[in-house]
Amino acid sequence: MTIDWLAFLTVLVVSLVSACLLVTLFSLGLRLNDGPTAWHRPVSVALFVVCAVVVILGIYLIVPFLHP
Amino acid sequence: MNVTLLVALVIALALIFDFTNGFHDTANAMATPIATGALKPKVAVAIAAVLNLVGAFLSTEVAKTISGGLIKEGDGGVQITPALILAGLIGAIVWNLVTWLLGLPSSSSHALFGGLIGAAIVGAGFGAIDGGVLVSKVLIPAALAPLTAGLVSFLATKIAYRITRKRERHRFKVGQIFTSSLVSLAHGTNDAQKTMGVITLALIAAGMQPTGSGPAVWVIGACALAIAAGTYSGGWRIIKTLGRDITDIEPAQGFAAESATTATILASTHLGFALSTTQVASGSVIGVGLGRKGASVRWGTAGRIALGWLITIPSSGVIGALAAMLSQLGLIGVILDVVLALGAILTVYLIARQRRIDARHFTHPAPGVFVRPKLRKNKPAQTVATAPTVATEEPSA
Repeated sequence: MTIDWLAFLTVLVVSLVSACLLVTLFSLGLRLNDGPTAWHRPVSVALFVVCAVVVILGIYLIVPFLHP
Repeated sequence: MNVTLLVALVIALALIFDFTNGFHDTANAMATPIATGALKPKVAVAIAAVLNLVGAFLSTEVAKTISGGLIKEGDGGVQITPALILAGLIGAIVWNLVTWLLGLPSSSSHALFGGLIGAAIVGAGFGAIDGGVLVSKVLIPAALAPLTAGLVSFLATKIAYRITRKRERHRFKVGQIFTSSLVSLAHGTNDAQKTMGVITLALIAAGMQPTGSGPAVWVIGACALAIAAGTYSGGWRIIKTLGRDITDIEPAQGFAAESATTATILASTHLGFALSTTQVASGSVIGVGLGRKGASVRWGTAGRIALGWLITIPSSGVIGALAAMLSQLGLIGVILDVVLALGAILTVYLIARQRRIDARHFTHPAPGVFVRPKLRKNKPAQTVATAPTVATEEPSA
């Protein structure tokens, strides 16, 4: 009986960082989307694009024959 | 014993298990978007079904050992016969149906492991089970999965509520569509594989397919269809438990929960520490319940779910063991097994009919819980789609 605690810790940290990153990006996108000044909107769109990239990365990880 | 008949029965039961696996696990991905109104119930299950169908074809790697190493298979170990697989499947199906009836999101993989373990113990004694693997691959991860996902979704919820203002939060629903679809796709690439593995193993054991070969095309297609059909049929009882009964979920929480579920599942499959999708999803929902100010977690419901996880392996194991004992009588025993299993399926179905829970429970807000939203200038008024707490029968029904 061996528990790979290092693997578990890696999973914990990676999932924590990636989920929080996605939520932060999307939240900032929403926050800036109805912002008062002109530069807010393009930045928010850019943040949504980054979110889309994260989702595509997720699909890449899910589908086995996209990666070796 | 007639091998062809036995293999045919194994295939039929494996597909039934795949179907139960589908509707049991719809909730993992779709409970939160349905609860927040991000997706209409029927649309949500349709998306999940399609993604499960696609996912089954996308992944070509079939689990080498259907039991995940719990049972000492192969040389010097247990000879897993088709009859034992049949008994294990019966244990898994019956337990999946019972937990569905009770609305408990329990792991279908654990039900399958449990059924096979029970059958293997009857077939070859307790020596057939690797206790160390049971603890390190099933029991410890079962405790860590909800804790990990809960922590992640708790922090994600805090971040979401810290950054956004109230009037922006309904737009998390758009994001929810994508995150819940990711969970669904991940589920599809994993879960149909188990059934493909079971069927292929039975075919190999019966000498109908060369050793070491992958699943035939018809096996992949049949499994994909079975899990997609199961997913589309909904499993509304479990969706209700996960989406409504644990805590009241707002769109921002839904988005946080799905992000946490996706991230945790993907990290666990790629970094070598397998966690159960069901347990991760349940943990995420509890985490978001703790993360939002003013939200509360119904610990009674959470406790019931945890209890369900604890007894999943022993229960399906006992059923699998009983079925394996019967199957030792020979052909009559096997047929009796199948008849009893069909009887159990019918019984659960009839009990479930008496108190139906279906898609309609999620589309009509209960009377009396309406809160009229504040009207805002130049913004369309928010409707009350944000989850009412109790669902009641549609008046016209």
